[in-house]
Amino acid sequence: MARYTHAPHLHPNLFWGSLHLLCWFFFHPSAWKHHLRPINLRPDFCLAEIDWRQPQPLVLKRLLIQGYVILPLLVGIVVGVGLWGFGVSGTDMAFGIAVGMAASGAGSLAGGMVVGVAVSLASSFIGGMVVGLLFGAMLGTTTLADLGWGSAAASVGVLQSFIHPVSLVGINASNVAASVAVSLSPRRSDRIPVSQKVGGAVLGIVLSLSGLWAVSQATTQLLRPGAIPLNAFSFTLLGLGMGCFYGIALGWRTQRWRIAIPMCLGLGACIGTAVGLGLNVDSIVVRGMAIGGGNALLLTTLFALPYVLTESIAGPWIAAVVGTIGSGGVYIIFASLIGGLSLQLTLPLSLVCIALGLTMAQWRPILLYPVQVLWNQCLYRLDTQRTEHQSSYLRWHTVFWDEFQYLPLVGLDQHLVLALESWSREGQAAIDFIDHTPQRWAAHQAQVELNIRKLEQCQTIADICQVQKKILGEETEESYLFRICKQMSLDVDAALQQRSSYNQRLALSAILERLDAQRQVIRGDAAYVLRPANNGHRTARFRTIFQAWHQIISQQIETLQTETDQNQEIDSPYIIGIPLTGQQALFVGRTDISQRIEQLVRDDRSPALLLYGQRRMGKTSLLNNLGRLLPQTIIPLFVDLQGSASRAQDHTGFLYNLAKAMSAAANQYRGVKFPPLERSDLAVDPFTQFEEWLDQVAVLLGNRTALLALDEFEVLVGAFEQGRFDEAAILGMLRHLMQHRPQFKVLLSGTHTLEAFKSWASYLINLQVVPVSYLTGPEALQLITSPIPEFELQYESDAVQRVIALTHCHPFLIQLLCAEIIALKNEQDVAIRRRASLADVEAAVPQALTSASFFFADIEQNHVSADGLAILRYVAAQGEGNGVAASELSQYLNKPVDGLIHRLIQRDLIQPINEGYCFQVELIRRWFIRFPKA
Amino acid sequence: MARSLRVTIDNLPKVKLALQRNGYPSQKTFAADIGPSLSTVKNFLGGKPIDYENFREICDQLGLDWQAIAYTESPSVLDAPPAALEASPFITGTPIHHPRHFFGRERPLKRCFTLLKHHPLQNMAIMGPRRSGKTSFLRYLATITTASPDQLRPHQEHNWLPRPDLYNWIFVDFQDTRMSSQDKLLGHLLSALRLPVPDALDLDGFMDRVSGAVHQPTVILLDEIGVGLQRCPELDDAFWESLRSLATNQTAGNLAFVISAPETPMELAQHSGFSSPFFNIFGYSTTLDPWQQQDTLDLMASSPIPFTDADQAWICQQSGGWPFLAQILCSERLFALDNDETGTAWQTEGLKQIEPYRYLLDQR
Repeated sequence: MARYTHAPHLHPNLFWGSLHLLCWFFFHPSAWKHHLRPINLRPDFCLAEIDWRQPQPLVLKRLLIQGYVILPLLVGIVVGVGLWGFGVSGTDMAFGIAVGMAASGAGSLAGGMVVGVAVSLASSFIGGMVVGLLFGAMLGTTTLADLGWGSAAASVGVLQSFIHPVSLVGINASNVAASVAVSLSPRRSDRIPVSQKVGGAVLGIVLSLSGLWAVSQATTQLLRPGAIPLNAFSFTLLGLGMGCFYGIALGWRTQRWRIAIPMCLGLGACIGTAVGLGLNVDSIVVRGMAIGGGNALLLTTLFALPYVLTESIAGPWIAAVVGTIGSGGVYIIFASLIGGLSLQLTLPLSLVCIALGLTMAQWRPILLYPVQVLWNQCLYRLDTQRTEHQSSYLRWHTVFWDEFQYLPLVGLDQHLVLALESWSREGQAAIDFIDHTPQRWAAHQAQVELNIRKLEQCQTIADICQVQKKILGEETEESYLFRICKQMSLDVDAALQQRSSYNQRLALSAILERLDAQRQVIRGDAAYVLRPANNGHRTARFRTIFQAWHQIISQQIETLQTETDQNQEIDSPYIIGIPLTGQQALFVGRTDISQRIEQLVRDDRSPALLLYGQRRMGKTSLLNNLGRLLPQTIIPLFVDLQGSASRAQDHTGFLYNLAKAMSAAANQYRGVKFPPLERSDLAVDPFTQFEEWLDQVAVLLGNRTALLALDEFEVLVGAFEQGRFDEAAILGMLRHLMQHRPQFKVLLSGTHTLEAFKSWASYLINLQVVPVSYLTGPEALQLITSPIPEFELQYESDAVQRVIALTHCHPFLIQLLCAEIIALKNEQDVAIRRRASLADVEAAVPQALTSASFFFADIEQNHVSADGLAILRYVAAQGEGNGVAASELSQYLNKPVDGLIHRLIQRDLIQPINEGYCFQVELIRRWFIRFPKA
Repeated sequence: MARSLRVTIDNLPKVKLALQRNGYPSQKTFAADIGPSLSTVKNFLGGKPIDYENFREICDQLGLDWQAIAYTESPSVLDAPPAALEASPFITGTPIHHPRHFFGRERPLKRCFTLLKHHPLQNMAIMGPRRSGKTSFLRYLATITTASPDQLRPHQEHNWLPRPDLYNWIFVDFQDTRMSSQDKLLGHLLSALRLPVPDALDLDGFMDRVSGAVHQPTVILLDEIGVGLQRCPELDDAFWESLRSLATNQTAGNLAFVISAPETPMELAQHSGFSSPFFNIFGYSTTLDPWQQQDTLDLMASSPIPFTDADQAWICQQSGGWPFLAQILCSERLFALDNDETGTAWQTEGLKQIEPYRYLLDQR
């Protein structure tokens, strides 16, 4: 922003622009330097350097007009207004204006030629103004009325009365010139060696003193009190002397001695003569101009020579000192010699003035500080009442126009924060500007405050991610805490960049831990972080920030967790194709069957049980869970006859594997360790050895009962048929076990009743059949809706009913269909994933038929005859729940079907309905519809 | 013996020399003369695996002792071909060895791993016509979860299992004649289960050793089980019932079987005269269908030389989405591009190559 810069534009109006220039000279020299940069002029340039034969830029022309026309006019106006304010007469006022304007114009022109334009304009303006006011108010035209060639004595009195104030004005103007010169000059002096500076100073002072000596001699001789020849000749001589001095200065500057010296001598003589003549003209204005112009030229010349000579050797600062001493010294001598004033009074006063002039940059800010603070506070108050759409008053703050103010401007940081929040661009531009000034502390404090506010303003996780980009790095006392926050913000940003929600949560949790650690650090040892005396309140604010961030990050983790839960696919708890073991929570119900088994086991009249049910009805799963379902006094000894036992090649192998399986089951279900029985023990007379082993087992059982559960007993039939085992021996052993060992009960499990195996009936007398069939309604409901704790899929009620209707509460088919429903839901949108509808159930049916083709094909291929298949297909074609009369089936097959229907009912495939028959399980009917020719 | 063979690297110069000695001016002439496709001949001469029958035929034709120059794979080898050879972007004739070259089949993969990632492991059957990619699918199951991500394509899913390092994958190829012998098969299984293999091993002894000894998730992949049922008389009902008992009762849910066959397990058993309930333990069976179009496009995108849109559309249409056909057509297209061939000769050649496998296109 152009407002907050060291390169502002000069006001376009010539009048206001002139005042603007003056402000730059005294408060903002950097602006002056930048103003001249486009036209390649040094800030301390002088007119003698410029090649006037070349066309000059508009900026320079405007400067010249402003400096040499407008500013003298301004001096006149100020003097006029001032004198009018003092109530002086019109004549005196005209005199004062003439003196001031002439002094200003002549001084600025003469100084601008060799010393520097800016220096001379500033000093001439001040000098002209002061001298104009002094002469107009204090001396007046009446006092000067006698100032003429003929009344020397009177003139001396007059001179004595005004020379003192004039000398002070001169010193003052010199001081201003020196101060401005120093502030405007490039810092060349920094690179000048001290020895050179000292040498230059000595040379300058010697030259000045020589000049002073010459002047004092001349004055002593020529201007003796009471015999001052105030005529044109004496002024011409003085003009020649001054012209000589000025010529040396100009020649030194331009190195064109031949032109400079004669020209200046001529000009000096002319000006001297003109001043001398002017003093005698009977015109107040002319006299005033002669007095003002003459004094200004004299003063400028006395300042210029030592300044110019010294500046090129020792730099501007030394030159300014020397120049001030030179010009001031002359005036002191004038004051003491001509005016007869005591040096004891003049000298200290002058030295103080010189010191004040040279140290203006140091004392002026102190002097103005209270005013500036008051002014700035007013601006701040006004800004607090402004809206964002109105512009800020911050630009008028002294920090932006007084670059010498080094004292901390109280309230600046506060104002900057206000600006940053309300007019962020403007505020930032101001911060950038201030960062390179002595008030940079305010910029830092404002930045710190703003950073803290930004941290405090984080309301969401996105805010935390972004805040690291907004926090500007500041090396402050809070740097440590800012670094933590910035790092946290970066970490949160990086965490959210993670692709998987899991990794995001992981990363955020780690950040949370670090945040906790930092909170503890702040809480426990604030001094470790900050200086509590200064910044205890900020530590508290950081504590609050950390707390808020902690909450936001925690919430984000929770949100992610929730989203993850929602997005996560539903895990299918269903187990298809293999029996459930005791470890799976999925096993539901069947308590009625286990109670029936327990009851029969306790009944001495029923030594043998047959667990009968169709394939996949859950017989093996039930046997696996008997250990849990039966009381501890009953030890289930589960033996899978498809395994090693029936694979054996002889009785030894069979009995060995039987005993091994029994031992393993006893250990697994009840922690009972049966005595060991090795294969070698059974090598000779295996059945006797086995019986002896059973004796040992019986002792171990005590009053407990062992339930020998032989799963898939039909496998033995195959082994008998292959002749691997002797049927009579094996079955005889089982009968003996049942009849003579009351602690042992035998349970056979299979898909056949003993009707199919006539020979077994004679061995297994009084066999009690325990059917395993469909689940009950509540058991099916549990398997569908809550197969495991906290099951994630919810069913609509009609969907549940449909699953039950389709599966007829068949445990395997429920699992099959529900597993397919889960697979289907997992492919659906997250929004509807966790709720199963009727449509989902129907949609899962075809895939269920494909996935479990082995189950349906087994029925089709292994359990039903060709005629049975024909009946099933015919019934299936009638549609869901529709029955077919036996007579119709008989007619369809053209043969009696009673036997077929009986077997199909026995196989749990069809059931009677309305004097006809329909499928028990709709899903099985669907198979026969879907694959009619399979 | 594996069903595919390749020439060992040492013998490659010898093979190439044999071609010249027998007076064949080019590979194309040789291919036209002996029958196997040009791509098969190229694979043979490049040391890439080709079908056993073709390998023998080419060796006979060139007067080479096929056993002397063949590199045979161990039946359980699941790793990629030797790194010395540059991997071909398109695999024709042999199953996909490296997961990087496997495309599509997202849905069945997801279902399979769902059944394998929870305890107890469940059994599944992968069905599909010949050349539908069953073997590749099984190999992919076994290798993808432990494949290094930098060896895979970008964004290729491989985190299917929570602890893939725990799994033991045992591959059994029933087309390997050694697997038709019960004792060798049982020995192979025991060895792969890291159990001691006795000198004399019968089924009883095998069950004795394995029962209760499988403590880590183990997946036995039975490839082309139909061959085992039909050609291996030693693998009788008792054998299959034992396997069922292992999967259901003897291994505490740590063992699962994944079988591949052209038919459903029950059909297989019925056709082979088996009544064993082993074939109804497969809780999930799926048939490998043709790819989704995007899968075919993904395959083509892996070509080192990009295919034009027209070529891609043609390959999609002609392959019907069958991976095997798509691989052949892509291979032909790439070969033509590699050799700066213009025109549609590659299409003619491609159609000729896929002619024997057109039955795939009639599957749906």
